[in-house]
Amino acid sequence: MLLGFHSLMLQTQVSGIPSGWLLFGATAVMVVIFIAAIVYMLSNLIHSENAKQWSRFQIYEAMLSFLLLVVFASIILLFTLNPQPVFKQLNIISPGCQGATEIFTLASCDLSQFNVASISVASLIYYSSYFTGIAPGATLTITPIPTAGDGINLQLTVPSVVPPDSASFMNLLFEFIMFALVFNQLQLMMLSGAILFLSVFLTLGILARTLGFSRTFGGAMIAFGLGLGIIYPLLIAITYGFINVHVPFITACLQNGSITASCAISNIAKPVLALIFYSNTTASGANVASLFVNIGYVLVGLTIMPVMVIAIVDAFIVDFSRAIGEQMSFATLFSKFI
Amino acid sequence: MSSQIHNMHLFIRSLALNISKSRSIAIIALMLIALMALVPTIASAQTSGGNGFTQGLCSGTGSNSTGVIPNSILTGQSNGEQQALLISLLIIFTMFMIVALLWIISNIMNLNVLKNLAKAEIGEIIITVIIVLVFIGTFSVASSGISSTNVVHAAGTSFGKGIFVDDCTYLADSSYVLIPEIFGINVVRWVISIVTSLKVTITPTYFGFIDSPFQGFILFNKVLALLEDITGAFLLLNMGTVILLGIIYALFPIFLYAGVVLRTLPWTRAAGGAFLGLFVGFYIMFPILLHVMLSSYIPMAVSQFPNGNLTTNQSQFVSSMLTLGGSVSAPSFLEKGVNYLATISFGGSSTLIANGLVNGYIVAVIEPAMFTFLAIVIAFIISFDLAEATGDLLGAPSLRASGLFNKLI
Repeated sequence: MLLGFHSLMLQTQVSGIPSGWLLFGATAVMVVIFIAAIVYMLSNLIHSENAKQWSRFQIYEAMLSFLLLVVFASIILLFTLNPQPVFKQLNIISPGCQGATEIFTLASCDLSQFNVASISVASLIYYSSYFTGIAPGATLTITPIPTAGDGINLQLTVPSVVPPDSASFMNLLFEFIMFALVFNQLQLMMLSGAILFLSVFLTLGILARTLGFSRTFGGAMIAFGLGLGIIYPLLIAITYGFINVHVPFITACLQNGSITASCAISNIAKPVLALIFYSNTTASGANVASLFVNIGYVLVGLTIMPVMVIAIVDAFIVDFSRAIGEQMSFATLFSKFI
Repeated sequence: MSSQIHNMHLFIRSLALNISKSRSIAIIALMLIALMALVPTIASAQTSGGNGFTQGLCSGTGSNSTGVIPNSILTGQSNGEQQALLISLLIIFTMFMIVALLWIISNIMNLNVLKNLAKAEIGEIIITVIIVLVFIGTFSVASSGISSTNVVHAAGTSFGKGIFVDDCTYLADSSYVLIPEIFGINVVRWVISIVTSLKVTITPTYFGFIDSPFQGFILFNKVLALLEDITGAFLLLNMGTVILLGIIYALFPIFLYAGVVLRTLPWTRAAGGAFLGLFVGFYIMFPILLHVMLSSYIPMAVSQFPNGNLTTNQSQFVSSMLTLGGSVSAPSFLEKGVNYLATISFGGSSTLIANGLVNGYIVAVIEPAMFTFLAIVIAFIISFDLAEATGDLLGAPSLRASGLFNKLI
């Protein structure tokens, strides 16, 4: 099929909670407690009040880090539970994602399905642009008085009924969708690394937080790991699940990770014809409205939605990092880097 | 026993003082905003003249049964919002019990640090409970208290879908009149292309001259192209805002409950404040501002276009353009052409082009579209400012710090 694009991007394969990293973090915390306990015992021998206070504080921070570790491990365990029942209740499971049993897999499935739908819309626009040149124009030449040269004649050109700017508008739309899709594919890559962000940065953060000199840095790392590892996939699953379910074109046509040409044509091309040959009836109006709903939600999913998700994740990271360590905004750092 | 009662009295007094000093402005502001939410939910629905486009877009027909404003995802199943509310209250209660335990431990072990922490946390929990009662209670009362058939209300929602559908209706109506205008301009441009293509060639003996008497109309065609681009941009902006309204209505209630839950925990309090700020700014303020600004102008502007039929508008427009109602009467061919150009530019006797095509189009089409554009921009900026301010009041620096929304705007 011309438009039968299959799901192009990889689906993340998640293998359960990052127990190895968390175990490493717990071990590191225990080591710090052990060292602090030794220092406390030594402080009694050498009668050092500073050492005693230091070790007390270190033990307190280590216990807090251990508590944080337990809390985060519980949160991670919660997020590895099957989200299907809750998301089914909210009616935000994309077509074809019923087999995703973890939030990370569900998020990447939702985004993949949306990207497939966007590619289909872009392809439809691309192929439709060819038809803008099909409707011919006409030239009428009348030579009332023929002479030896060109004579005396009148020439009139009737251009094609297709508006002259329509092809360039379609090309612009096609280029915009393909450009925006690059960013969405980047999001898919970030999703595939969500577990890595979560385990590495969380462990690194807890370890750094346990040590005195890097406490604020550790807090920022924890916020970063939680934001990108949990909040980000959760938001992607909710927002793109919602779009995929509420866009009629995606719900009707997305099957087995691909969209058939006939379904795409009937859901997009027919409303376009309804727009051209519009009559003031409810059915005609609903057809035109469905065109705006379908294409509008696809454009929103490519533009506003990624920005909104990143802004919310950044807000979480900024506020959470401030609460437990050093204030950090990954969006500001990223934009400065760019 | 009396000393314990005395201690409890002192504790409650200091707690009340702390709350009143630092959070009174926030609480009063939040209550005012919640009360403002009551006003539009009891506003009458604005009828759109029954055109199929607005009904299909905002209310939904056929396969698209809910239109662009779907139900909130929390009402995908009945009692969804009640369940979310119960979970939020359960988490608040659990946190309250933990803090109470900390208070008891601090009293037993005489730890002032822990005592102060417990006091501060109980104060924050009380504020969170007030937020829950003010917002969710207000919406629930407003929803259950409305029974007028004039209000467009999806059954089972607590957040008053009416105002969102009203805003969608205004935007859809103002967009609906732009669609035939775009088609009409295209038809006129097509006619002008034919007219400007007329070429008279007089070369009796391999030498002569060529004349295109109506080439001057090309400039007019370019002006029409500019008007068409502007109209198209306004149309896309209106449709984008409509879809944004749908997404806000469907997804932003999650921010309320997530904000309440996050605000309960000390480490995520600021993040919860940011979420609540986003909810207040975009779920409450944005549709209210749009409603206030558009309700006073759009119905009047749209009423100038009584006939939404594309075909009729086009044919009337084109025939008027071609004939000018017989107003051009100059004798020579060129003078006729110049008079034609002047009449369609600056006005003539025909009703449809009484002010001239360009002037009339700017007054009748561009002006309402520009008003809608300004209303959307002003509403968005004020809503975002309120989201920032509310987030700041609730202890969240994030919305100001990242500046992402500023860059987006």
